[in-house]
Amino acid sequence: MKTLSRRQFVSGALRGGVLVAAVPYFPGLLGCAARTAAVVDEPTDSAPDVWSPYPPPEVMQRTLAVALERGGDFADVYFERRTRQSVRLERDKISQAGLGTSMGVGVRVVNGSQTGYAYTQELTEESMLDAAKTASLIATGAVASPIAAPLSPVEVPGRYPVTTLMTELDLRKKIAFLEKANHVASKADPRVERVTVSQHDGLDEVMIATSDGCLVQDVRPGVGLMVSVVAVDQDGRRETNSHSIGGRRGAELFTDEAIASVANEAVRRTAVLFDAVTPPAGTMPLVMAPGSSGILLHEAVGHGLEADFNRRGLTGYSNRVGEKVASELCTVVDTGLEEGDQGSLRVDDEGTLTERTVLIQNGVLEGYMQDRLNARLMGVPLTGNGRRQSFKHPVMPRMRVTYLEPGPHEKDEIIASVDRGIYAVAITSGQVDITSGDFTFYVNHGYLIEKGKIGPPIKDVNLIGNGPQVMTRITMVGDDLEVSSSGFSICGKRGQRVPVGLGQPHIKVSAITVGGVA
Amino acid sequence: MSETKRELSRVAEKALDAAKKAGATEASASVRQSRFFSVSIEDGEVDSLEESADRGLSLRLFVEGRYLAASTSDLRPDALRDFVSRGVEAARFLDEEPDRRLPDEELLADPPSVDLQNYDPAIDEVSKEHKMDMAVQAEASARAVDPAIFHAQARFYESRRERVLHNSAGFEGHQLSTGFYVSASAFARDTEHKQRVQWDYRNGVKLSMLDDPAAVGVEAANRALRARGSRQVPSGKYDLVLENRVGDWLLRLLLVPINGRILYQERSFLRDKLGEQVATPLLTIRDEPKLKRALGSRLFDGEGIASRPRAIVEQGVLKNFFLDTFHARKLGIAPTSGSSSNLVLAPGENSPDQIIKGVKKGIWVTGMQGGGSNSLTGDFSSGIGGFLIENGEVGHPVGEINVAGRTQDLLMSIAEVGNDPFLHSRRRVPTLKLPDLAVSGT
Repeated sequence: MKTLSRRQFVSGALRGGVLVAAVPYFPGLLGCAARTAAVVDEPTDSAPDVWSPYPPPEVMQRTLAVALERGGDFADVYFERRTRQSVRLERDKISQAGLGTSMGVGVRVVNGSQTGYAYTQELTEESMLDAAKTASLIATGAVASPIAAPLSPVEVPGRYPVTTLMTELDLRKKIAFLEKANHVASKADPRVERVTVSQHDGLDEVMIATSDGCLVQDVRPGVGLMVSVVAVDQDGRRETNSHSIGGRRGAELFTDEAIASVANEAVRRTAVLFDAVTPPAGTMPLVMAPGSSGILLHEAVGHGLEADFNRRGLTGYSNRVGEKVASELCTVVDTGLEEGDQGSLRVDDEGTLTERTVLIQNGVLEGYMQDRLNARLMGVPLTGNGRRQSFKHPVMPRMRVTYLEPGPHEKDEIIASVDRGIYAVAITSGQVDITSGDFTFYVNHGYLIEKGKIGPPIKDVNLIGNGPQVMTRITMVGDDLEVSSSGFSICGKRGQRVPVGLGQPHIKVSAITVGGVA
Repeated sequence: MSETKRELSRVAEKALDAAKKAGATEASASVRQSRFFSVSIEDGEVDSLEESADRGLSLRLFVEGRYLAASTSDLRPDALRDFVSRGVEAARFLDEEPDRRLPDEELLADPPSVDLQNYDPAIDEVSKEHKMDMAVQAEASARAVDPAIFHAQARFYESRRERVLHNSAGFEGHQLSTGFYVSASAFARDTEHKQRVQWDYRNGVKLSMLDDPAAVGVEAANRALRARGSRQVPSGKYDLVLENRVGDWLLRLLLVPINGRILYQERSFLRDKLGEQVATPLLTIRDEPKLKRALGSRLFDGEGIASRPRAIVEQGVLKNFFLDTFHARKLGIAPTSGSSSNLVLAPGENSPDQIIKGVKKGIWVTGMQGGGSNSLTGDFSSGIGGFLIENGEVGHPVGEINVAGRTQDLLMSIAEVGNDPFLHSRRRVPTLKLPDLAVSGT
């Protein structure tokens, strides 16, 4: 049998590595050409500390065979090398930096609805086979399940728009970005007292081998830059706020204009708080600005449409495909293809190429976000939503970039339609009880709406509602969709955190509970 | 000395050696190794089974007054050496911060003199089948409570964690602990398209602390059943009675503004308040790192500073911040520790029932949802769930409502402290009565 040799595989990967920095798009690191070139009969040696870092395909293949030696429906092996870097400026000094790397292999065996999982950080064939043995314990059969062999490389269409990887950028250049942000923010308003700038970047190199014979690689960059400001007025009163940008982008994101814009916006959002009034309490209309306010969708409907809870009938959207679950102005999409967003993925974490999945079309539920385990049990196609925090975690169905398609209304008419309500511009966090659908989100930049006009800014306030109910109360949808790329949107579910994207045009919710004090 | 400890120490020394050779002036290396086992059950069957070992190195590098934190899971000698020298090289580009340095030697921990009793040989000696059966019992007992419980899940988790911390000043510390956890979630049908989930858990350093897994399932089920029919209340002022297990929320409101980093960035409403009355005299909170058989106990902290019990708030007076070496030097105050261990809110006299009896119009808060707070202004706004209290009686379940206010006022207003600290957490908080808070609903 002809398989990829280790050495050939190494050169293929290296070639990809060079291209990463040279062309505007990540190429499929292991395309068909690479496969053809690499098919040679060459005995493989085992010198684990020179793996490239990807384990040789034949080791992945033998690991899969051990994983299914007690039976089971399918198995996958997930290799990941992760690099993280960060640097912080506070009080005008580059005060600290961080550097992190982790590497390992996770082995999963699925038997019906059951999952066996084990991982190793020891990159040797022996350790990988041990992990496979542990994961295999979920199945109790006497007969091994077959695996497809040899593994065939799957070409992944390129989509992460990166010219210069931040992880390869000279630290002095990153420091220049921070100093620029600090300079702009410090000068933007005489009341600015303290500026903190933090920047992080990372690179995830993954390779996934599945028992049905796919071998997929992906290289995923991520960056973020955040500016936090404390300002003090003449009476000694202090306010603070922040702003950020990021995504699956390269160093070219950080142009002088982009950095200045983040810094100025952080200062503006801080300065308006000196005029902020106490937010009201009670139920009232809500208008949300485009962008990060997409967290409403993420909480009100997104989590409720993930397949794991729905297979078990545990959400308010369970068993409702084909039913109207939202106002007909709502078309909700979850996509892996949003270019440059931190939630975008070319291929999910179990080897499925991603797509643009329409979850709700004109208010009618079309389907759920699937991973392999749940799609198989529900008898529906894959959507490419199988994700995991790292090689230490089994896969769950998770959102990628979730947004609401634009609608017919203009911003001005939406705001003009509200007599007394809230205009929410920036949301910093949200939470949902997936089962009851009750959710919250925290507005850290917002305004009152008074008699159809935007009024004074309000202090931070938590908003609370019930997802399925709020989705029917979306009475206006703007024509100005924006997908936010803050670089810091992290979604947590059952102990696992993954980066996600959020987007929305202007929308109006006819009634929601605003957690103010007056 | 155990084999693992010897091996971890060897890695730590190698890392320190590599740091020195690469030009670091000072360094500390923490090397950890842990393993865990986890099983979850639903519908009487195993849903997932996970077992793995984990390790890693965290390094703090000080290069002529410049500071870089580094972590890696790749401990192979060559990889480690390369990684460390990359860290040292990167650090040279940073600005000098002479206050970045190892803790003063007199603060470092002595060799262990106390047994914290936070290791349980049951991690190896009790069979996995027995542990799996604890989750099976928790799940089955949840489903058996009532036919309205249409689904349940339960989980058993255990871990063994070992860590050494060495620094270039000669400090060598070692800690070994175990942790055990069992939880159950119960799902109850409510109205159309609406279900309720609630959960319960036990958490401890000894397996015997998870005494009765069936009771965990029953409690989860009863909570889910009681939450059915939950609805909003009209906006207005209510007394809140915070159940012991949600008291952690109140501690977090206090902990962020007394953290060194937040203080240094001038983002704390408590910045000048050391020694002042910031809360009602009923409030005493201590950091207790040396409690026996407790989840947060430790002999030394992440920098190697010897653990010492200390008051954080004593009868309402703010006594200490959480300060690591750097932030303490910046603020000109002696370091305490950059992080809390076990936080104990001193209990009062009354039972939760007695406290509820004394409330005319209020909410018994049994869960928090989302929300946030501003550490600089003290403003907070958070979702809450629980039960209406009218004239001392617990009434219908409430949800989709919110409480908001200022942390300063909240701390001053705590009116009663219960006698029932929640023991399955590193933060031991009893039931608290918080009068007259703004709740928004309909």
